[in-house]
Amino acid sequence: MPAITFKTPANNVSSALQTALTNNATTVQLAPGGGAAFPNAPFYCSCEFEVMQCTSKASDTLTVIRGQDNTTASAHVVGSIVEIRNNAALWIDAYNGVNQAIVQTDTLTANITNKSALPSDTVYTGSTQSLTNKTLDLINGNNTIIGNVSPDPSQLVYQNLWNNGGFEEWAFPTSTTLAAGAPASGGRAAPFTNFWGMFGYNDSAITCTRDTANTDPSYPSNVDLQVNVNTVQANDTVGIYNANNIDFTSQDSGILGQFDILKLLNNPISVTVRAKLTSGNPQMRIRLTQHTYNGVDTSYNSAWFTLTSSYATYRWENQIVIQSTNASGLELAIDFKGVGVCVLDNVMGIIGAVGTTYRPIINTIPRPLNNLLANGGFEVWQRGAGPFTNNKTTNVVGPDRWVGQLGSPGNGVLSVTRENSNIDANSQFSAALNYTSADVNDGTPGMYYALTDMEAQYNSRIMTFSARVKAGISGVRIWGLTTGNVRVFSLAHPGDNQWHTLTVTWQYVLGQKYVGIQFTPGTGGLVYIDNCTLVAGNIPGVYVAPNQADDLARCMRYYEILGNGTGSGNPFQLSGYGGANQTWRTLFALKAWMVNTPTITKNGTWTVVNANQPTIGAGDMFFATADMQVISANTYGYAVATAAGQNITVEYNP
Amino acid sequence: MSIVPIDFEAAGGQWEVFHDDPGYVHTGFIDPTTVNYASEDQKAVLLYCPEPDCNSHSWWPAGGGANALIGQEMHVRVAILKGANVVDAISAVRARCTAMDGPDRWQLNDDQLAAALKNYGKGN
Repeated sequence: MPAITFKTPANNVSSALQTALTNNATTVQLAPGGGAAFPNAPFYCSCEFEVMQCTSKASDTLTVIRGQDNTTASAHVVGSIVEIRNNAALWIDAYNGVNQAIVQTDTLTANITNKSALPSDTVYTGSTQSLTNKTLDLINGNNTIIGNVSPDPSQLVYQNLWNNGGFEEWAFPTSTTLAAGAPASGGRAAPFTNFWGMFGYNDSAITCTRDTANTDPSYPSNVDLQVNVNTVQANDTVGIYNANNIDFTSQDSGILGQFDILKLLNNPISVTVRAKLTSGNPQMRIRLTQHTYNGVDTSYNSAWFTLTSSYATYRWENQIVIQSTNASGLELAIDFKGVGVCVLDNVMGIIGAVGTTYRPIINTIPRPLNNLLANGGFEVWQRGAGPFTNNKTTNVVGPDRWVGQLGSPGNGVLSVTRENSNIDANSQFSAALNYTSADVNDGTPGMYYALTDMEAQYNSRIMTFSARVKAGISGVRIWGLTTGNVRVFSLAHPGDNQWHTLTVTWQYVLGQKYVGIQFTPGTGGLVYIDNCTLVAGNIPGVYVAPNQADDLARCMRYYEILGNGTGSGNPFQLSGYGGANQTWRTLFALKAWMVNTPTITKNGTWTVVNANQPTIGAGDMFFATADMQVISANTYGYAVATAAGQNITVEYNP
Repeated sequence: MSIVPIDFEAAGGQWEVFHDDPGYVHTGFIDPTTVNYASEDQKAVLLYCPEPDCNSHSWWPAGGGANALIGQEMHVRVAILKGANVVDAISAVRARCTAMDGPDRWQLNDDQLAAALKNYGKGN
């Protein structure tokens, strides 16, 4: 129904015809100045008994439609009065308008009731209407949300696309510098902390430093990143970067795998960076890059930001970065140019059109990662229950794969015993470490594990070692070893005689092949350790007991017992028949391939008939031989291990 | 866990030896000149438990087996006692160790060991 155009009413409007009006003329010429009294068109005007509708007015000339409001167009002489009256059509138009509004209101009311008022793809759910394929534009040009939106989208918990966006994890040296090269030496890069690397070009330099004095006050933070930049040439930059599907520092997967990357196809990415200027005049920009498998990288960078001396949020939002089905990675870079120092904190990236406040990555699903330790649960004690006491400064293996250690000069006493009472959940045994006669000069009292089965494959990777520890003394820590035989320690056990998980994350370096637990030298006491894990990456592993046979088999690569000397079943036996003093050699395969050539020990006095005690003849990773000499000719001779302790032990320690 | 020297410089030039396999806690002294190779190729030495009637012995490879530092040094000392000079002894044992267990297995500091053993087996 078309809307009614109301004619303009007006009072005391009157003029006279300047020229005669025929019955079909459409132009009315008023007396000079007479048009001023008339309103703007449209309006009704009357001359004698005829009503006309003026459709436009130009000075004293009216363009009209003749014979309106049920009147007849007729001729009018010069001087006839032309005026606006309260004619019937004004009222009829009003009546029609009111009636039309009533009809439309009734129709709308009916459509609301029958849920057909909104477009057909609107879904009505109870009292809530879900809008499908509608865009709610709630922001102005400054990306500020207009009005109140509940819940506030900026407060929603998003998953941060970037690992370690808050720079809290720092398993690297406190400060790393990418020194200036030559004016045309090209680009170079280096890691400086978990998941973050830095780069520079030519004769520009950058130093990234772990800082705790300038943390972002807007979100709880313990660590910030201090960046010292010095770019020389106008087109050169330095910067930091975080590739969320490739952690080049540890080869760990980030949040996004290949398939996740493709799910970002044509989706907007938004990044916020909290930063402030400390000194100088460095500028900063945010850059997002799509990497592809065919080597074509495409970057989208913000304008250069001029940093302020107070923390501010710098945004690069609504960027469609992943645009290729050949995409292999999404990378964030924060570029700098100029000379000076700034600090960064709480870098946040989301899938969405508007950047959000920082939220850390919350690893809600503990993953039972592959435990690289054998006998991490201290369930395998092939050597017996102990105690295994360190003899002078000689390290002593107790539980399989674990070695007690005092460290030079070894004035104290350290013994390791299998424990079945003070154990962690889902455990049969733990290891009890009893450090007595403690001496502050004891070097490294504790117990260690050599990582010989994983060396090369894990070179330079970030590793996390965790252990369940119960201690009634303070200062007990676990550790991993890094460059220069430097021990990277966990936080210390509080000494409350309760089980706590100690965790240490560090960068594993080839050759630095040990993890362990250590007392504070001179602080003796009884400590229990159980359920240890060593995993790649910076997320502590959850201990899951392996199949016992698998765990034992792994341990047997370092220690095994041949012939249990049980006296029944299948005793270990050598035999021969031949000339007098003839030696018979018996080859026996080892249960598990040893890591390397082991020490082979024949234990005990075996039962011999017409034979001397056997002697170990040879051995390697796969087998050992025992020689038995028959005494009398042509008489069957044999040697048999039938009692407890009569056996052959095979041992290799890294 | 084996029969292992715990002191190469015990009184009278003897070795103090410990036997700690499961069920055994034997300690005693042996004359190191009685320690012999297990075979002509000198890849291993046999070390007997000093406990009378124990009749146990360990076959120690040049790579060190259960204890790299002790096992390798034991081989060097045996080689010296068999007549080699200290430098040749270290070189020969290191070569055998490498042949058996690879180049990464050698854990002794050659120079320090050579200095420490320069008078070994010479009666003073």
